[in-house]
Amino acid sequence: MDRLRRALARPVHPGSLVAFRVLFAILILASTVRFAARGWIASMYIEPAHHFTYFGFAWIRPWPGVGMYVHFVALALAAAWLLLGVWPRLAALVVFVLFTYVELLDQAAYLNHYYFVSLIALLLTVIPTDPRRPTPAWGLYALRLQVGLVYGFAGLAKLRGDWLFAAQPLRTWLAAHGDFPGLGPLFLRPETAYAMSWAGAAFDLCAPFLLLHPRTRPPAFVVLLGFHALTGALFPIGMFPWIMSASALIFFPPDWPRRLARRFGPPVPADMPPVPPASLSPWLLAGLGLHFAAQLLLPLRHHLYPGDHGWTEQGFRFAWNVMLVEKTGVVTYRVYQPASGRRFVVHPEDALTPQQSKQLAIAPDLILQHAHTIAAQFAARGLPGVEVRADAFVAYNGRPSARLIDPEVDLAREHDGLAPKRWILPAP
Amino acid sequence: MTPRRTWPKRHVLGAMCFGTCATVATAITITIMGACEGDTLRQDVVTHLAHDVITPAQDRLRTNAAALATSVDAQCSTGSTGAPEAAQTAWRAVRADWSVTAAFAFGPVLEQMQAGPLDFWPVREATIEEKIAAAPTTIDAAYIDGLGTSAKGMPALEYLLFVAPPASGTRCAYAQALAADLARRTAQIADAWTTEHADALASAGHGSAVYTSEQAGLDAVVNATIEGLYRMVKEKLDRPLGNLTGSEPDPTLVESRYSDGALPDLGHNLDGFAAIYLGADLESGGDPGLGALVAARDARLDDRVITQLAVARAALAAIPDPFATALTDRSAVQAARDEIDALRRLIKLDVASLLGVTLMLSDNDGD
Repeated sequence: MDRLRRALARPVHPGSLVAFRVLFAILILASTVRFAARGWIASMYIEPAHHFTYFGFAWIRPWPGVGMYVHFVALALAAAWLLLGVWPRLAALVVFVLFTYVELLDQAAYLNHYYFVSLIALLLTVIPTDPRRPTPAWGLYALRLQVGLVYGFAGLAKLRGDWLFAAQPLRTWLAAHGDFPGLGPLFLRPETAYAMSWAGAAFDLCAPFLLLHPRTRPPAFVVLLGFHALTGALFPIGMFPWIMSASALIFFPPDWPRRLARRFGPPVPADMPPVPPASLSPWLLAGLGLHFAAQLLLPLRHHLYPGDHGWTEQGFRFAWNVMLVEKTGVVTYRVYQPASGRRFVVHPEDALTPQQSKQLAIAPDLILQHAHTIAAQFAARGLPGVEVRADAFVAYNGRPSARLIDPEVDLAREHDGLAPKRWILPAP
Repeated sequence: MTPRRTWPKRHVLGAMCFGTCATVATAITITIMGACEGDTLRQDVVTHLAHDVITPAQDRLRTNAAALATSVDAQCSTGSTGAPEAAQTAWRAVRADWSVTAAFAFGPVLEQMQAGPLDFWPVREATIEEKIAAAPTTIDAAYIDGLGTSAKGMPALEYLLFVAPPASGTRCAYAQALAADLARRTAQIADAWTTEHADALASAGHGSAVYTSEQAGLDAVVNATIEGLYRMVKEKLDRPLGNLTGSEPDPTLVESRYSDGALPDLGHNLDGFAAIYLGADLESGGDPGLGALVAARDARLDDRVITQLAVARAALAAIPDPFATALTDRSAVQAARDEIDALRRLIKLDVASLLGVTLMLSDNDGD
């Protein structure tokens, strides 16, 4: 234990961590500006009449009026603050709070890399990134572990039949790129989908180890850049390739920015003098332990639920199931009020944005949540006590479409929660 | 002193590195081997649909709308109050053409925002009567342009031709102006397809300024068919059935109700879908419609679509005339609604996924 403590407290050059913070802040800033420029603040958080809240976080609501615009301006300013490095841990805390608030507003907007950004911001609230003095090694290790867990679990998640033996969903996605410059015809071939599936799984599983080892790091980093460049060119995954490419730099030696500057830039001042190891707070150690325990357990929690979690989505989010499923759904609700005998058909598209409709139709927990919303809306219209049933069909990873939800179950009587949802039908 | 055991680690790392490189190399080899082979079917499909299905259909609509205008002019000039059949027949022909094009309502009809001015229903009779009463002596295109969508278009003209056929005066002039407006608008759509949009769609991904990839062209086609089927289910069947309001069926919410044209309209909607799916010859395995792409990747799914199309047609055919009366019985209309919805699901879920249409990841950075 003492050896571990000493290793964690060992001072290292701060260059890598400072570079990581700067790149991270730049990406947050760019992402925020891009989000606003594309009109997504209004279309995703202001215009929708309804938001799909996370279990336990229903109290988080969008700001009224121009509040969401003000919030994004504040987020951009916080990212700039983090970039400048003045009280960087406080800046990271502000970024974490502002960014995570946005992500908790609507489950329909969940993305793995948004979750990743929140986690990194959280870690930067405790990791010293002052360029003027050496920093304890645990900060470097914590970030490496966090990035490594993303790749590791993303790789483990790919060790499943659909990915390895049906090349799904890559086979479907690649076939849509038959006119990709130069490579298009290949993307129509199933062999390509298989090769890329297996290579993708192998890459995810090996990347952290290859990046850690000095000999394999340079080629692995080149492959990583190529991998993210290709996926970025093929699929609309926005900032994800940039974020993951920048994050991989954390695996380089702590003083890599200095080495780079020495090699290509003007002369740099002498290196900072060594300092004795700092003490490691037990609270900090416990906090990091808890954080990484959660990071190890969350991606595995789907084993607690029956069925294919790609289909049921139980334990699917916050688990690095990256690019793992292709699902398209259609859901229509049947509403019945026993007191009056009246029957209704509700097309949810009428009340939701296209993005919300798309996510609703494939996610049982969102279908349940919307059933409750419908029941509440009917009650508000003077039609209390309605029964709400869903005709939900989903096409999943190339299989024929099938019912997702038991059509006989009154969803208005079902409760949301972490328990297995017995009304989800088995995957086809 | 225990010797350091570095070699096994190196071996493991080396093996991992080799495995990754070997797999990547395999992918590259396959890439190079297959680079010379191509697949032109997707381009063939969008080209055929653009030039041989959509543009001819828009041309027919333009031609028949011009004939309708002529027919209404003739009726008004002869004052034949009791013989509106020619104009009514011409109106039905336009309605049939328009209903066919509902399966590919994308491109010019959306860009020019023509759907509302051409096809606003259910008709607001009071609004039309108000506008006729307030109309100037000479009703020109500018006057019609200034009217709201509820006072013009095919349904308004249907009301005038089928409820109280005009023979002269302001009422007739109003009908003539509506018919002329129809002809002008359908010509604008057809012109846009003929001069630009058909080529833009056919060259999707090959220099098209509108569709930057073949997939973007295909997306437009498939999404339009899905939207067309959705409108059939929700607007044309759920709404008059009372499904959306939990109330009794309401014949006043039926499409083309004055001409009792709801059933033919629905049938023509399916004709439009069939033309997109089967190609201009309406034969499986003939012209390269959307179904050719489906069959090339999943022949069983192609069979399912064709079968479901036939089932939906049969369900429509099983609805007794008149539609307004059948509506009160519900069962036959509801059955047709369910079968058309099943067809919609098949296209939106299975076909779209197979062809990589709605699929992909969301527009806002999915991963």
